[in-house]
Amino acid sequence: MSIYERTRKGSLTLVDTKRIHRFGALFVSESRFKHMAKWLNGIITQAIANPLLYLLSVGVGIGSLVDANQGSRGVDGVPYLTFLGPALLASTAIQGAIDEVVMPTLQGFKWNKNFFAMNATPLTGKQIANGVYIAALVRVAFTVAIYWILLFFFGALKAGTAWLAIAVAMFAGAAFGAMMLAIAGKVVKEDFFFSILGRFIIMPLFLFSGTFYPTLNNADIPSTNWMDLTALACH
Amino acid sequence: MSSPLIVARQLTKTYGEFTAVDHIDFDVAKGESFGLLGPNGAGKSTTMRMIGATLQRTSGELTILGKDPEKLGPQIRAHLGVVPQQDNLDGELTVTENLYIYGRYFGLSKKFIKNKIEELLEFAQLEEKRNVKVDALSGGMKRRLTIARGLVSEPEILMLDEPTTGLDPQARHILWDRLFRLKELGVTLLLTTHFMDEAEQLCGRLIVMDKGKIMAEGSPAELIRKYSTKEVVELRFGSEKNAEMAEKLHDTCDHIEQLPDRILLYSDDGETLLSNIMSGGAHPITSLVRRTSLEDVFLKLTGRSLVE
Repeated sequence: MSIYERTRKGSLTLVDTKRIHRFGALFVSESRFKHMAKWLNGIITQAIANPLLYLLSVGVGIGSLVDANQGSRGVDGVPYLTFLGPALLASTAIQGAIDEVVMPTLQGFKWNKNFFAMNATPLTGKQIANGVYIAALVRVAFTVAIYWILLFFFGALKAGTAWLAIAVAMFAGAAFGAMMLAIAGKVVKEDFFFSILGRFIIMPLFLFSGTFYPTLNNADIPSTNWMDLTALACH
Repeated sequence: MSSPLIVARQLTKTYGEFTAVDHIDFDVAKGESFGLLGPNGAGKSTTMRMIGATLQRTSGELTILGKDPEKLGPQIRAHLGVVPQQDNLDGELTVTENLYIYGRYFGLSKKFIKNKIEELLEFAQLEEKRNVKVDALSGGMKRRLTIARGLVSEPEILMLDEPTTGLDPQARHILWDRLFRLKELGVTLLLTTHFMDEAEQLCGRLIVMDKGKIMAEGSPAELIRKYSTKEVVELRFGSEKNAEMAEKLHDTCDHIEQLPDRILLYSDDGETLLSNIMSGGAHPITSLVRRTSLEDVFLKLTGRSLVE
């Protein structure tokens, strides 16, 4: 007789359904963190290298040309790096949130089908979705925090209220993350949808919504309020 | 006698015009090893999903542990161990990580799960694979891990949907041994299969399903006794001559079935029947006398083979 057979108590004794009702979403998040731990080095490298390279190449490199042409007027009254930084912060939060909800949803419904495994446990569908969402926001918070620290060291944060940019970027990530989680759950079988979304919606939003130049220069294209709000906090 | 853990009355599931499960009745008692036997599309997996509180029934009554799965799904699922037809393990995580996260979905403490993992690894004979990624495991190992995962919360009912489909004979026998131990322990097993030998090995009682309906119910031995003879003679005369020979041999036995590749003749004394046929001048290419199985019961009930 194995140990399993000798020590059995039974689920009626072991499983506390009230605890699952209260903390179920966090148990799902915990499993997402287990996945993230597999890619921890990549996550840290990306969190540092991505902003570092963007800020050096566009912020400092192109920024030196822009500042030389604009002179004391700057862009919206601030150096180009200061103008650019908060928009990159918000767009990083948005992209990070989208990645962290879309990939696990595809994995859960299609690749590993581990959402079906979760669904066979006391967890509810709502708890599964909330757990994925919470884990995504934790990852976004980590990425945004690293980005903000680098912006600080680059001298891109001028105003005393610059810390508010973290909150605004998080709200931006949360809003896009929630929307994309809902969409991903519905169109999970349509692989092409995510390619179209990336190429024709997310990328144009990144390029034309005031990240790299003031939206007033392109009055025909509506600005993304998240960019404006983060900028407002930092300038 | 304690009340049944599972009670189904006129249980029905339809998808539009198609009826997947058609007004079926059955009970499963605590500690019983209960099987749903039938070919693909018989309605076995649909029935399992309704019992697993992940699929709503169209009509009829269903209670599991005295609760209605449509009203108290999470409370019921808390006491079920589910082994699906297709493994849905987390391929990126290791064997122990898979057991750990699944235990957490049941709200179990980290300390409890840590101890439980050791027990389950021993049970599933996967101690040496504890830190191996699931993607690197063989099919049989994945199946054993899926069963071990289903046991992490020590469920009242372990549900296994086609537990050995796709496994080689050796892996099947290892799995049967593990499941037989659970059966001996008194864990209530509910399993679907289209393998008659599996049903005979593991099921104390079973229902034979076809096209969403229950065709017969009882223990494997009861079903064979009720619907068939003790032995069966299999004769092959070649695909062109089988029909002709079946016609000629029709009156020599209790019952005859003609399949595309062979003729089955049912009798309580197969050897004597075969001897009589041979002395009567018939010369089959191959002949075999074997014990009657659930496959024969199914054939008798439906006129079709289990695996078509």
